[in-house]
Amino acid sequence: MIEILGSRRIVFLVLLLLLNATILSYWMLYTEPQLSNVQIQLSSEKSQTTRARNDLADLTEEYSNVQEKLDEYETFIEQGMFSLQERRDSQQKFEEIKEISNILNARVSLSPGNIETYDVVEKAEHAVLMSLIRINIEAFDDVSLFRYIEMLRKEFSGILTFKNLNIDRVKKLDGFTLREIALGEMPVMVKANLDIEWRTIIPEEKAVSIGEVRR
Amino acid sequence: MGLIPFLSSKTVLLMAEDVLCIYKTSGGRSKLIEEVPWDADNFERNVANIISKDCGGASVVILNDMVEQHYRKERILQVGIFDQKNVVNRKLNIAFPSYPVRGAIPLKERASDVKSSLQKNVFILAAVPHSEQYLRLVSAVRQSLAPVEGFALLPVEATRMVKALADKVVKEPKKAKKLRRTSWVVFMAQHKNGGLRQVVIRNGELALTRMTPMSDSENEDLWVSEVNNELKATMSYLSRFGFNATEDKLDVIVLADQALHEKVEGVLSSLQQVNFHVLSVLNAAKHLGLAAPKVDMQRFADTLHTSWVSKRPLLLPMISADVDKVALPRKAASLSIGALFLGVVVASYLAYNTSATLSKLEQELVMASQQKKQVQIQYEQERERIEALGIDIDLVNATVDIGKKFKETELNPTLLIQSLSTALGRNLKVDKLRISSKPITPQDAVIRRPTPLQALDGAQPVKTVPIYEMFIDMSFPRSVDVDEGNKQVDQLRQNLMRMLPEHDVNILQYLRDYDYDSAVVIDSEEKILNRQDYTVRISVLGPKIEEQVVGRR
Repeated sequence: MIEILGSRRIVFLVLLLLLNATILSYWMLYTEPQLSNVQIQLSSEKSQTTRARNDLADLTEEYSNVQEKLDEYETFIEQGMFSLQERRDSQQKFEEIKEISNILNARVSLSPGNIETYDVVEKAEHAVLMSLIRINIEAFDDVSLFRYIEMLRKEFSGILTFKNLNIDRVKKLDGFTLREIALGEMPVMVKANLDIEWRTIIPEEKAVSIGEVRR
Repeated sequence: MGLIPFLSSKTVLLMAEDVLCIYKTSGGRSKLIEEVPWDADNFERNVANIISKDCGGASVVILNDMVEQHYRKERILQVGIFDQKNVVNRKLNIAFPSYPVRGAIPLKERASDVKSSLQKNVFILAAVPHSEQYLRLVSAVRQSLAPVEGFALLPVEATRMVKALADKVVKEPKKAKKLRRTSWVVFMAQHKNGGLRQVVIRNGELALTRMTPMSDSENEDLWVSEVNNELKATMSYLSRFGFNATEDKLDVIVLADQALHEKVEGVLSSLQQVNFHVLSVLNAAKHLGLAAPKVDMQRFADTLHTSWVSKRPLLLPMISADVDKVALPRKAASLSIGALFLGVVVASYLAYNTSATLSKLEQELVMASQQKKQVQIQYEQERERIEALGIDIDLVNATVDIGKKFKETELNPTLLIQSLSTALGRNLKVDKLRISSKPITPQDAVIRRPTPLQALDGAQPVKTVPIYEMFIDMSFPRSVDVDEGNKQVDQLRQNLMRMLPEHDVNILQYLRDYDYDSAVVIDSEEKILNRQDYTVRISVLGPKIEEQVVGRR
């Protein structure tokens, strides 16, 4: 075969074959995989840049929104929004309100706190603590009752949501009642039942510990 | 070496009687490189060197112009296209059993003496002997390592040239062409080795060829006389080939030096019914569209043949095992080289294209990374700035959103009671008050439409839900006039509606007489001892607010 084709032709053929193989190998084994690699990286970089840009825009927007909310936030802080609903403090507060409002009797029952989760609160790594309050009030007049309720609203920490309020006039101002009053007695003229939900925001770790104690 | 055949010129090896003429052709121009006598020492090595060095290893065409060429006109049975080759080969074996170099070319002519259409195919079968010159030449070509295009017979290959030349030089009216039965052309030209080659074509196909020696004398009259004699001899042969002097047309083209034109025309014109055309090689080349050959004498047609053959594929490549043994592997190698070269070009293009794209994308990647870093730095700076202010954005949002959510739906008992107190005035008293917040459900939602006046200001309907309900129970002494009492109740409703806009105030029960559910004690003296008071019940529903937005999980 060498005699017919000649060694130069065969060498040339082999060289061309090798050149083909080299170029094709370079193309298929290096540039093509590298190209798809770079394409993936580029796409990832671009999407990360877009995400970072959006995050920046969100942060800036959030910051300007927060500036508008700061006054309200301060008010909520002043209202004791972050109270841990300590039972001893609550007891004292109820006593104070009772004394000041001048009602005859108030029986307060405070249920154990429950944890409520909201997306917006969870994002801030906090949770909402909710306790049910049931109050049975006996008052000489409706003015002291209303004062009690108003003081609860104003003085108590966090957010109070009144679920039910039942007021009954149990006595009429007749002669018998007037005689009792003249004798210096303070008859129960009005009775009321209140169901209230008490909410405050507490840190997430506190919420976890409350959950563990409950369990 | 002609490794890339399509880029190179050709080498035409013209086998003459005494010598081998080696021509190098390129772009329709033919140049004689060397004449090597057959009996020269080291013939093969010398010829191989000339082919590979002087001719640049260009692909070789072997053109046989020797005297000993055998032709036979044969009818061959028409068979299917796949069997035709076998039938022709069998016919060649029978016709030329001792000549290994042979070939067959079909003619347009149809056999008229047979009835069956299957036997009307006519072929020219050609063969050359396995001569010593042929073997030497094949050996030389093998040693040269040049690619081999084929082995051909000069008279056969010249057929198309003669026809093309006749078409150019013979002027004939169209009517005459239609009337004429057969057209004959005799091409006469001397070759450099001394022989006079005559090629006769009939209707454009080879009919006869003759090779006769010419004297070496430079006597012009003698040359003209010899040409005349040879033409006459050829004319005498023509009648055997079916030439009819009265019906057929005969053109004779003679290549001669410019100076001999008049002499040749003068001598040949004595022949009746023959059209003569005397041309120089230069004129002939011009008519054929070939480059002007550089020749010593304007009557030598060698360069004309070699130029013509080099520009066209062979009409009849002869079948030769010796040539094929050299030609086929080299042809395959040439094709492989071409394919590999094309492969290199394509692969290079693909690799370059991909590399260019890769380079562009890498630059984009660097820019994208820089952009990302810049944005991330900006983000971190902004975040640090905000953190430095001591604000937990998420906590502020959470506190305000949750606070608003419950404030918006808050039942404010103090406000309600104050409003009720004002609405009652001094005379009316409430016995029972029931206030309860309502769970907000979509079923309770109502659409509040603006009044026409509000609508003019662009107010839109609002979807609202009540957040609580209130029931007020009152009692009126029995002594009160029912109508008067009801008026007071109506007035109370009006007052409540004024005090509590966005609320629904409905009187569920007006002052009335006893119903079946009331307890009564009847005495004969006082008629009714325990007279019950009138009871009134009013419901208040509201306020209506827009559906809340902060969802609880």
